Amino acid sequence: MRPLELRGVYKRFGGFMALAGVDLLLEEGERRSLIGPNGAGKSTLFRVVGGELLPDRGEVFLFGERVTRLPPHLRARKGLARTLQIASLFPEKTPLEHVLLASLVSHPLRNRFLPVSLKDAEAWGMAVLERVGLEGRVHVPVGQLAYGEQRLVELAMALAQSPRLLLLDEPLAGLAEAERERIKAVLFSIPRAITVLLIEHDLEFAYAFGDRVTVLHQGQVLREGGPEEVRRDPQVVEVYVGLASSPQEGSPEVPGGAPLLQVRGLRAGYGQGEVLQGVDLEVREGEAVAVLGRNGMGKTTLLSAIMGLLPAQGQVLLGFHPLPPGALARAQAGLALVPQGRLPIPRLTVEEELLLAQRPGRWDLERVYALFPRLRERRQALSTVLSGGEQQMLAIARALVRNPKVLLLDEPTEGLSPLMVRHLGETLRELVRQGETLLLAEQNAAFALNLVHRVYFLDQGRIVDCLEARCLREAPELVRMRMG
Amino acid sequence: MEFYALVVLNGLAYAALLFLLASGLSLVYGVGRVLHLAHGGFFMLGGYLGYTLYQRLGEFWWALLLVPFLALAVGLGAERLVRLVYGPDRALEQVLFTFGLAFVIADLTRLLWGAQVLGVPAPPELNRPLILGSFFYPLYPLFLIGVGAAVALGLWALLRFTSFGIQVRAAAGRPDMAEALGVPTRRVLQRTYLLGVALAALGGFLGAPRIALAPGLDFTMLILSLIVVVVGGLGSVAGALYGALLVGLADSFGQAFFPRFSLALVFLAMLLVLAYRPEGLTGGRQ
Amino acid sequence: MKGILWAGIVLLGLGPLALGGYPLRLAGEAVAWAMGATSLAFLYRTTGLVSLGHAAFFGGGAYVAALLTREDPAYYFLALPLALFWGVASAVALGWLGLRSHGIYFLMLTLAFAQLIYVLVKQGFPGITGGDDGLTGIPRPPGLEGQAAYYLAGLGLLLGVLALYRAFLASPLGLVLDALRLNERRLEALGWDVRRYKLLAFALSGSLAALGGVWLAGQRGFVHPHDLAWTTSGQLLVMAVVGGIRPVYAGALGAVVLILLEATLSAYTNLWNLFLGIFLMVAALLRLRRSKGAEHAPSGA
Repeated sequence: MRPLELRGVYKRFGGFMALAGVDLLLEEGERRSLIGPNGAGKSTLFRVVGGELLPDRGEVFLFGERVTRLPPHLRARKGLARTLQIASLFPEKTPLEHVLLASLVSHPLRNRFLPVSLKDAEAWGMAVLERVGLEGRVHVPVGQLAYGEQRLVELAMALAQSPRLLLLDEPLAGLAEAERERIKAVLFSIPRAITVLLIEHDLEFAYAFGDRVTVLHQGQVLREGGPEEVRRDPQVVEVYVGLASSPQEGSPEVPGGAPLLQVRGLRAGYGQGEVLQGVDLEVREGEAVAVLGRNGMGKTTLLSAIMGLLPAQGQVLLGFHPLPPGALARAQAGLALVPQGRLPIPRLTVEEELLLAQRPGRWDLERVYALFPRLRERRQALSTVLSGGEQQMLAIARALVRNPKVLLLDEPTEGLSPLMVRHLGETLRELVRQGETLLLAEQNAAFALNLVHRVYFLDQGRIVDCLEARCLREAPELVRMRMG
Repeated sequence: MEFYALVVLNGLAYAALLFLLASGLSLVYGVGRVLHLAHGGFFMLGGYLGYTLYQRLGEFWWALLLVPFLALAVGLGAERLVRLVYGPDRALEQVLFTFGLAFVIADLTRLLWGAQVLGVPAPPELNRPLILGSFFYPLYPLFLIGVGAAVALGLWALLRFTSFGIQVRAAAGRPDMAEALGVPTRRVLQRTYLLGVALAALGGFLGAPRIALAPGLDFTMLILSLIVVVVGGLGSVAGALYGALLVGLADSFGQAFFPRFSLALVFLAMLLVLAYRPEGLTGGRQ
Repeated sequence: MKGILWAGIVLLGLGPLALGGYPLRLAGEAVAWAMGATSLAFLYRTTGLVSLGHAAFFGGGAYVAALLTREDPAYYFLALPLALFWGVASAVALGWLGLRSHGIYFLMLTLAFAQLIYVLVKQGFPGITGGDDGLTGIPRPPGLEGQAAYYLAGLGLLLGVLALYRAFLASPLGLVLDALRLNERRLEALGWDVRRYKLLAFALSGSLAALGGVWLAGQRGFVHPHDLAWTTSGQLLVMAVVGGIRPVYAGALGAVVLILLEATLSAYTNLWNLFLGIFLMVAALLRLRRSKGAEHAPSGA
């Protein structure tokens, strides 16, 4: 009996097609890794399997039964367990209480309203906690545990449910090296009686763990097969590293000048996990710099922290002046962000967004309309109804009319068609030619290499390398090595 | 026929007052995500301030002009206080705090003006009927409707055409991105709050000739304005308008035809909207 | 330390008996309000939902008791279960309507619910409910006519309820309901039928509030539509929050504090609403300070 089967699943959010006809089949005892770039639809898929989302079309089968419309708690009763991406625990409760909550679901005494002995459930809970290595921390409220230990509790809860199918959502995200090894060991030791479906951005681990690998891209299954064949598949490499066949043009040399933007010892994170672990970088005036890294390595956190949208420790200096905290102050100081996901402002038209953002300088409305004629045509349209490509144009135009000193771009190619990506590349190259200073965070290395002068590599929240783009263009293996 | 017209007229006049009160409440929620339970207090305060001004100056129109400004002065101080509880996931603290503020305003008002019922006469120019053929319509409610329509139009124009209006919409739509684009959201919120307070106070004084001034008025009006914004959609000025029209007319027809259950019907409507369509008629702002 | 605390509580409990008169009456009121406030705190503790509509259960229970016992105090044996039934039924109805609601929206839902009942009682059916004037001449249960006896019985009942609450929290069901407040989504993913448990929490909360209402009716000897008004709901909420809302004793503590505060302030000044208001604002700010402190707690190595 197949633990999980998805047939033709479609899911759309407004204008965005998150899942576009996904078929998936898991065999009993199988270990499957699900990989793909950001926005590919992996989390959406988990939520459909989990029961949080109803697919627009298609069916979900658990152990041979159709469960497409079944609520989450009944799916859990059938043997499905999940870990959630952001540690989703019960703040004041101890690890023992967590595993108790997981295992009590089917316990005869679960509805007793007076204190009663639960020795058998507690024993089972202790055993599970021992398996994951938390036996010393059993009675500590989870709020006081280290982030890695919290993820172990998450895992323990899922295991305590005695599941037949386990969904793991980025179990290694945000963890330090030692903690990663710990969790990997636990994951490898999961008995084969439990079928596992894993989402991970750590491609090394995804390839090592899975018997088979499914690659998701733009809501569809791009490739499926054994780890080695998937890893070497040119289509997969392209999706992760970027189009290999674009013109290797690059930008002319920039004279070495004084640094305009400096970042020193930046540390930041979401919730409990520390994503950035001390980042140093700099961008000189008129330079275009890229920060490359796989997903989950901290690129968005980095740009958000530089912009002041996230609380962070460390320093960000613009023209040698330390910037005050807060996005408003940094926007006024001369930073502008083109955010991941474009983030158009609801209920505002294209022109209103531009009017809102504009500051005096050489970029005015006329000039950005000249750069993006399509925006002029759509100036009275609500920004939220534009297509992905148009929204990207607006996001860039919006940042440009602020006449910033430094332009920050967070994964501008995400979700764009190849044609749009090419157009975007040309636009950004033009900006560099006009002397704008750019800091670009990208997963698509080839795209970035075509227009920047220098590249930083970000791995596990740290800068691990800095090379000139020219060298990388001449030796593409270097890129592939770092990007998987 | 004439009777129905009068019921509609009264309903629309009531709606105008409700709109003045509720639009500010809705705006402040939209921009700051805080439910300002002290809003009714400013309505009442406006009425009392206007009463005193009218007595001292002897001229309704001067009082009308000055009331919003006096209320603004109080509002500046109040905003400094309410500012302390801005932020998401603070529903409980906001309820407690604004509740407390409402009590403070209510008692200070009672201290200054006493507990007896005070009446404000309509100005002599408006205290006579409008004669259309053989029908007599009181002029004051028509005046209220006129003011309500003017304010609605003014707010629409403000939000649609001025840069402040765009900033308000941006801060309400996506506050952090707005900040990253240079919108000073805190300052925008302060101005929105003050605008709301001025409108509420204006409504309080304009309503005084028809709704007697007495302790308890603040909470009565607060509940009604809550119904209006909920039904219309929290965070939307258009929603406040639709909600005000609905509640004003429902109340007027209710009072005329089944007085015992009119208020019950209004609350039932609020209950059903919240249960089945919490975002209200216009979808407001989540 | 604990010994002193317990001694203090016993003193507080038995003190009014010694003082008699006005303090004893106040204490009698406090007992009823304590039950009401505890029910509200219980709902928050188990679901994380803040209600501004508990007057519907509290005042409703009072009215049920009033209607049945005016004729004959012996009817208390019927009034009590019926009042409890009212508490359960109306709370479950509210809970069901508010299943998909949370936060501000839920708050206003409860407000609308309670106001609807208030208005129906006050204006809708004045013939039955006594309309604006309410109902008077409500007796106490047979054997408890004296104030001291009534107070002692109420105190015993309250302590029993609190003991049950405490035991409940240590039970499996208590664990589940506590977790429900902390992370509903996670609980559901583990396999728990969250809807059913939420409604259970409502039912328990409503019944306790109704019990408090019955006790209030007996204590005062009359009921008034005001007992169903949102200001009563507000008072219950304030009591729960002032008492700390989370501990078992929160409702009782809050009720005692607020009734004492009201009594002392109104003796000295007419402006006790002003002080209450300031008190609330300070309480809100203190809560904020405390939760902000918790956010910055060290997350470990």
